[in-house]
Amino acid sequence: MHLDASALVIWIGSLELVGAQIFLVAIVLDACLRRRSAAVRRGIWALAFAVALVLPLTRLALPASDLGLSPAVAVSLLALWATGALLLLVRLLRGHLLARQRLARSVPVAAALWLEDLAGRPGVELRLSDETDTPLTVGVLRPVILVPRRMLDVPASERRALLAHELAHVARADCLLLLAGAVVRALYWISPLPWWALRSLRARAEDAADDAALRTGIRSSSYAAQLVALARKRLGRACPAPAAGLRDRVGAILDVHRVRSREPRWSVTVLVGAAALIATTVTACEARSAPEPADAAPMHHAAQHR
Amino acid sequence: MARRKHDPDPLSRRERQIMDIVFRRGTATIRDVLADLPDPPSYSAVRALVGILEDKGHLQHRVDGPTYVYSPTQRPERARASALAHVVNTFFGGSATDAVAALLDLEGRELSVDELDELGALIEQARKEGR
Repeated sequence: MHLDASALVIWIGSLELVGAQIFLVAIVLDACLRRRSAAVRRGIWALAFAVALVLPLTRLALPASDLGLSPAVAVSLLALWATGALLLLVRLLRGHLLARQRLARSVPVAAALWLEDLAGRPGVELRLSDETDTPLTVGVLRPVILVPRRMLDVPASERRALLAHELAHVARADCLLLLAGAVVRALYWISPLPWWALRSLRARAEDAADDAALRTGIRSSSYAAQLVALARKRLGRACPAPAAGLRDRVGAILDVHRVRSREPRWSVTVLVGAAALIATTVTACEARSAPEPADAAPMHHAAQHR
Repeated sequence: MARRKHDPDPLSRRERQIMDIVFRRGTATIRDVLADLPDPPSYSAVRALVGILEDKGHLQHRVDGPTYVYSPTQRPERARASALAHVVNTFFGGSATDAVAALLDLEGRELSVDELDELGALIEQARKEGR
């Protein structure tokens, strides 16, 4: 048994093409819905990534094609794609290991005020870290909110806003979504669109979490000032002060006309179900419109019998 | 922890920009670096970064009257090898962002002091308007 390299190249190439179209549709939808809440726009990107993740499975049933590439060319192209995908997956794995190490070196928060504000949110752990200068949420199955030690004594309104921001990430399973997004980017890395899409997904997820923070009642100017103060502290240490999109975020936070609804809140099950439906429909339409080659076998059969 | 000379620590984007300027000029003062940097930070920020590069062993200085004149400690060929290591480190160094949802982005374009001041002015205006 051996894999037909040429057929595999075509399969991956067509997958990349359909994936690019899905992200293009998401870009257009996001642009059309730019006056809707960040939660809605995040939902669009979440659905696009879920479809892209499920798409390879639905395309296994498509008939295999062959453009007659020479084995050397086909293997080279496969190696190129596989190298890029593998590098990105290794990068992703490294990131998760670093996050676990950071978690392992953190300690549980004992401050009563923080724990009171967290009360009623089972399954979420609050921990203190000396290795981060910004609050962050880690973990897919058991989310943990890491709080920088220096922020332990912030005023009550800021504490509640920060917690609301991170809890919004937990409620929407943003860590799981970003993990899926990074895997999708690794699979479809050849096109620039999934790279753009992942940045957009992150930005909309942060905007939606900012909206949750503002719903605690903190003044938008106070919340924005908190973010800018964090960025300034990084600059003062002569380290890079990375804050891509901070200008856009501050503009959004201060915008009195902005819609800040929390809906939609799709469960993971609903999202995956919708994605499977869309991916299957797209694949079925493609199968109906493609001319039937002679003696065509589905992709997974072609791999077994050639 | 004492810094080691010729420390193989990867350079930040700003540090790399400064090294490129010094390599191109051969020798450079702080003002020369400030003049050539794209979207430059303040004089004191550049001086701090040059000091860090000197501590890391990438730069050395000689005194010319009241001015320090900086020059690289290694040849460009060796610097190119470390530049490749920098690319690799940057690629994998940014992996932390893939695994977390952070309040402030952990990587990306740096904001200058002026840009942060602009945001501060916007926020102050919003505060006066009661937002």
